[in-house]
Amino acid sequence: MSSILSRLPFDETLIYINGEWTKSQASQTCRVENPDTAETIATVPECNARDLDLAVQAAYSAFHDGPWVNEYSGAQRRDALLALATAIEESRQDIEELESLNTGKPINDVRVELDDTIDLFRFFAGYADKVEGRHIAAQTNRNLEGYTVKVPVGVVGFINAFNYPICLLAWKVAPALAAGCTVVFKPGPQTPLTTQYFAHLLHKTGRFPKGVFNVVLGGVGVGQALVDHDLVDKIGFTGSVATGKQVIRSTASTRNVRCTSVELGGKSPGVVMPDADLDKTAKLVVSGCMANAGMNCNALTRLWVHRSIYDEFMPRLKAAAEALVLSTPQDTATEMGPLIDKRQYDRVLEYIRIGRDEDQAALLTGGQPALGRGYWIQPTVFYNVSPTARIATEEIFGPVLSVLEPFDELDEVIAIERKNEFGLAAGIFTRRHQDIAKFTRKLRSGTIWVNNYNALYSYLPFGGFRNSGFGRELGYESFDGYLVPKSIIDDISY
Amino acid sequence: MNKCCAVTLPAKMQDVNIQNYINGEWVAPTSGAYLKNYNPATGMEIAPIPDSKSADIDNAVRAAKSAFPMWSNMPGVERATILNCIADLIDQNCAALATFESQDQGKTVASAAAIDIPKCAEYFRQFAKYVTEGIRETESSMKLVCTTSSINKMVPSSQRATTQHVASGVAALITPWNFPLLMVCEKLAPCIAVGNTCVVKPTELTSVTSYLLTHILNAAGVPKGVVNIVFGSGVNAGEPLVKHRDVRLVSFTGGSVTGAKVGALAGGLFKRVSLELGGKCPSLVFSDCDLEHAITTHVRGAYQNQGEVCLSASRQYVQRDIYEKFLDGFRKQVCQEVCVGDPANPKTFYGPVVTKQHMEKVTSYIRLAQEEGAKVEFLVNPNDPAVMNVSADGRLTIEGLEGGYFIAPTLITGIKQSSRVMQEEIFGPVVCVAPFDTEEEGVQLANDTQYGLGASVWTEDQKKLERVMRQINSGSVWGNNWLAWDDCMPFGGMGCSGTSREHGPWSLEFYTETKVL
Repeated sequence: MSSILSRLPFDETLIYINGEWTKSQASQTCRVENPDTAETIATVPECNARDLDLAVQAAYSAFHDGPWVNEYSGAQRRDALLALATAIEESRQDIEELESLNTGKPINDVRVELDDTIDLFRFFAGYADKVEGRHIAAQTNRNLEGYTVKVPVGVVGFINAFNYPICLLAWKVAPALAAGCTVVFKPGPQTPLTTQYFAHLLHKTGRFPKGVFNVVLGGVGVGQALVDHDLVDKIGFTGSVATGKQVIRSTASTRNVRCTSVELGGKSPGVVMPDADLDKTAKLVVSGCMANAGMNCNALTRLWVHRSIYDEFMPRLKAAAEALVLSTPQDTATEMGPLIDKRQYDRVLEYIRIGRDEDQAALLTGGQPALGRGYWIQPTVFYNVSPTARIATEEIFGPVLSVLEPFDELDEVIAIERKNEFGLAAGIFTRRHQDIAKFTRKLRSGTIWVNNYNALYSYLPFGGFRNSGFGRELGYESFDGYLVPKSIIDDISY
Repeated sequence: MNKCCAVTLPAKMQDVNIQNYINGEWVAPTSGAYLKNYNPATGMEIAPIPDSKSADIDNAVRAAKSAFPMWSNMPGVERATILNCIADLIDQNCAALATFESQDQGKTVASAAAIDIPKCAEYFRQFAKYVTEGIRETESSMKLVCTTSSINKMVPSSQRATTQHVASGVAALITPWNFPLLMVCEKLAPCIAVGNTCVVKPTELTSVTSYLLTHILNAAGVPKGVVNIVFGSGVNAGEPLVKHRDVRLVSFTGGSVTGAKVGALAGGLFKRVSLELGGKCPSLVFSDCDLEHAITTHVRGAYQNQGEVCLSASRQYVQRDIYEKFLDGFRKQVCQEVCVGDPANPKTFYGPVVTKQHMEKVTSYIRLAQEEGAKVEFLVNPNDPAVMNVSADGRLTIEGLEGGYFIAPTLITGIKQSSRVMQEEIFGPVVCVAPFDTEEEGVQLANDTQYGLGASVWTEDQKKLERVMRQINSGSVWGNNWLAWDDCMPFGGMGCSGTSREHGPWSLEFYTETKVL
């Protein structure tokens, strides 16, 4: 079978706005690469402010005047999302191939991500017809009878990151559409292709009125325009802390105040206690850090190992890291892929240099480019790292793990982690009930994994504390974030 | 708005003159007959209680029925004010109520003052809050239940569907003697908070504090007929109450045998019924537990409140590796710290059991165990000067309280799993301890019971803890503790321990009717 690139069912030089594939108003284009080889695989438009305005206007009309909210029942929106989930499922092989080519992700990882994507559309579809308010009968307070009605927040603008293109699209778009919102979606500039494929499938179901879902392509310029647009009611952002702060600032400076939800990154700690199963833990730690080549906001990037098992653990950790298979992403044996682009590649190599030269950390394994092509870097582990070292505190977003100096008491670890700039995730490896209870109670981290890592669950909210951001994705909590209550109060004695 | 008054309670037991409380007045039973009542520490007679019959029940239900429209239509905030007033009056009279409870039931004054009475006030405050706040989400519960508010749903086009929880009508509340006032308040608070009226029939063995409550209710401004308390026996008063055609629902806490009768009667008449019955609660103590903490907790779990607790830790299975060590520690701690004697003495751990008949029943199990060849030990502190004698079957003679119904802290080992002593609820200060080897065996032993109310699992291994807790067929399972309490968690049993769940939103659900508009 020929490569998916030669038989895309949509024209990647067009953009999907207001139910149509149209030409961009801009003349700029953007090169799309395969990071395995650094080859160009496609050229897509780089949208401008005019494209963005058309997209937002389409979403605005669709919301206020179109049938999506004003005529459709929750059950109809539910069925539309279920049809979309099935459509994704039916084309999943093509989407997997496309995602793997565009991101360098190992094909096995992409398959799991497609499972999640399909599951999320079905999961949130289930909430679409279960929007409920409250009713307070007059008896509670004399003659006033009151009730709440929950309405969708409106036009939602999404700025997605490049690390999980189709999967994070599902995280954002599924609950927003289920709640009755309309969407303008901007994928990461490096990874537009599966988003476009998604738009194609959504259009093909015929169940989404025009303007309900729109895609704009591009980088910072069109992203800023989206954030600045007055007709957008809510912004959902996944990306770096610096850009996230800019997004938040912008939402206050437009004419209309609007809400934001930002997911910004992490420097998530793992803790290996003396009773941990060292072989299993070594493997879990390695996959916790190196999955997606470390380009994972909740990656386990700083590791605490108890002094009593430090020397026993390190060789196992080294072996597990070195056992990772780096090869052609489309090969099912491959376990880790390349960095997404030159910028990330350079940045990670720079951090490795900082680790060696400035932080004076000892290198356990890795540290060099790999495969002699594209943007590959070896899985890299530093050890005996000071907890305040730059490589131990700054987000690298690459396959680099810092094993910190050995620790003695869990209480020390918890005290030091309180000063972690981030608070997205954490993991603990132990069977001791008391330690688990203490760790899970005290750590201010959005997700805490016990004897596993990176397992995500549609049902439970995901998000951070402090510089990891605010707002929650997944779970009922995220769905509720796309709704606003209105209170209707009636004097029945009148 | 009602101003909260003070209340004057009788100063001493001799001044207590128990009468039925019907339609806001204190009246004698229509038969004129009274039942005897005893102070279990001394064996002396105290306040006799009305021997009520159908006629009294009819009067009470009639009063409750007439009061229902007014009470259920009253704005929830006004009912809440009255409930808070009741709570305040209970708190203000804590010491007195605790003393009377002790003299009637046998429990120590200290435990009544620390546990029973404050809990009574808490129940009224908790449900006053539910009524005014409408919804409460518990930390561990996804359930949202409203009292007078309801859930509103927009369906297609312009329809709106509203679910409402409304008052049911007249309720029958039948309560036991182990926590007399606490059990009444536990039911009364949610029952009337949501707008029901009721007739309470406390056990005839311990009616004093329920009677005192009537004065508090009256002083708090509870309108006449909303709460009626009729004293008497299960047969003469309880049965007609359960059968009464105007009683819409029945909440019963007591033994499984009577519970079965109540359930059959109420079920056959299509009344909603809640049964909180007995237990024979197992604990599984694994060798990797915190042994010291386990021993201390098990001593408390075995003997607190004379062991007259449905959740009493009466069957303790200890993993063989630590079995002897556990028993040694257990014996030592009981001998040193568990003092049995005068309930008014702050040093006393537990007092007499509730009646002579109950003492007979508990000691019969002790004798049975002895007959079966089990090892029966009475863990009495040899230096305790108050204990003058320990009989062969565990009865204690306490100096100055020679007429009291005291039983020694009893430890039984070497008893068969199939023995009646191991299977039936003893409801006294008697605990059976047995060893187990594997996890599977432990779980099987724990589940080998007709009951299923409470259980506890002891291990520091999180994975084992979660795995074992999930396999125990019990309404409540505690991990590394016993009786850690949250008033919002559902409480109730499986099997012969009962049929429903109460507390928090679950009580609200039970006491209201659900309608959809």
